[in-house]
Amino acid sequence: MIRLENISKHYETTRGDKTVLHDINLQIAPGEKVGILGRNGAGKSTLIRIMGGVTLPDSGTITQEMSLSWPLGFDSGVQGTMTGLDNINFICRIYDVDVDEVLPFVADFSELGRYIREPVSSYSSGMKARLSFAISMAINFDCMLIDEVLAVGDQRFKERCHEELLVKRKDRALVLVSHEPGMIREICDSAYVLVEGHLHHFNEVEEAYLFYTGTMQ
Amino acid sequence: MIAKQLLLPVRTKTTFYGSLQIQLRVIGALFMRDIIAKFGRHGLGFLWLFLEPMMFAVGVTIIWAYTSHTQGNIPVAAFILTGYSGLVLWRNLVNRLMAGVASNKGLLYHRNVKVIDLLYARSIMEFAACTISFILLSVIFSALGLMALPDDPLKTLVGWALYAWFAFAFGLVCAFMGSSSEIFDRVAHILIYLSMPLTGGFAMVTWLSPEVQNILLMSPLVNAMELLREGYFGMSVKAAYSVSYILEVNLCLTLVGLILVRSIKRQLIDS
Repeated sequence: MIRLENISKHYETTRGDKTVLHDINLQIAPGEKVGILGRNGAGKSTLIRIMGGVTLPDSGTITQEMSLSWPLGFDSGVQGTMTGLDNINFICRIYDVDVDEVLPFVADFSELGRYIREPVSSYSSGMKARLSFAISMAINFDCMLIDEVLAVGDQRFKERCHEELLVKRKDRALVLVSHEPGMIREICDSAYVLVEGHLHHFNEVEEAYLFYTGTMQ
Repeated sequence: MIAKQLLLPVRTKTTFYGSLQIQLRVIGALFMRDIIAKFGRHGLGFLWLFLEPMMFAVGVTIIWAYTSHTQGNIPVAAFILTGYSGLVLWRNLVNRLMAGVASNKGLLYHRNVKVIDLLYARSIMEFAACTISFILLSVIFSALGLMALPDDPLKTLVGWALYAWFAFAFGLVCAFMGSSSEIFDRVAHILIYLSMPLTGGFAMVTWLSPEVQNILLMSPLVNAMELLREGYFGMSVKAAYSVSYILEVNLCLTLVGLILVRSIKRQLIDS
């Protein structure tokens, strides 16, 4: 179980403080697929970064009883100055995973071919996303945090992700954050809608979808 | 079907030992990464780690050997080698720690990686580089007959370690200052340069006037260098130092440094 209780977060801007998250409560059960819908700037990325331990909240508590991936998104957790292979080595060392064991999978899934020995800064955003995704799946977290990343990939990447995440790892939890309801409606068990820093919970994804489209009017 | 590992009693807190293992693993990974990033895999590769400070020290030793003189019967080469090795260690460690956080911000994306780990990894690398350079040059210079090997190696090493410890603790404070103030980032290099007399490398304290002595002995670096040189030259020099003073300053500064470093992450991400 992962539990966020009364999480608040503000940023300082030149025109005064802006609160991006107001008193957020959220929980994720083992194996649960949770969607978080929100428009651009609603605070989705901040929320997923707080879950991933990248950003610290101002107040509130997080209880973490499952392992959580880093937030997989445009900002992908791989380093531009290092080669793909060095990134794999580095991240495996950090999470105590045997590189030799996971390398075949990572190389196959990321489809980087000989680019795996080139610096990541020379990769396209799709290549970066595939690499970051492949490494995180090899580590086998209990819960994956996904921030719009599926939008980056092409059809083939999406199909392979689908296979890996929802078929092979269907016992694992995942949090999918997006402004685009399609994927969330397709795969999530429950959904939240984030509107101006306030989080609304819905047991049924369709209710969340209707509420979300309502906020767009 | 739920995987077996999810049904096991879940851990809410890691033990001290568990956390220590994670931290050591992360520091090790960062260290390897730093080495690859800094030296690549080609040519002389990681030899540059200590070749760089060595070449610097050799060049300076040659220049100074012709332009300066020492008192008593201390060999000039050895006097300069000790002083200059210390200076390089001080300057490199502080500079690397100051720049260490901003340039590796992206690594903090992984929750196991803490700011202090970045700083530990860099300190270990810089300390190792300067120490290997110092030892190799001592061996080479003595083989060439320019000087003798240290009189008391253990005392030399203790002096070296206390010197490095102060540089590390000071570096922690600078890492904090560097990431919270742009002005500090700009003036720090000047301050490091101006701190040269306070590293104790240029003269033995007892060669100087009593007023200057009092000022210099306030610097832990001077104290540690005096200890190092007493270890190196034995009783042929008259050293002035207080080990308990170095320890007191180092402990207090390390504590302050660690507290300040804790707050870096929040600043970094929110800025």
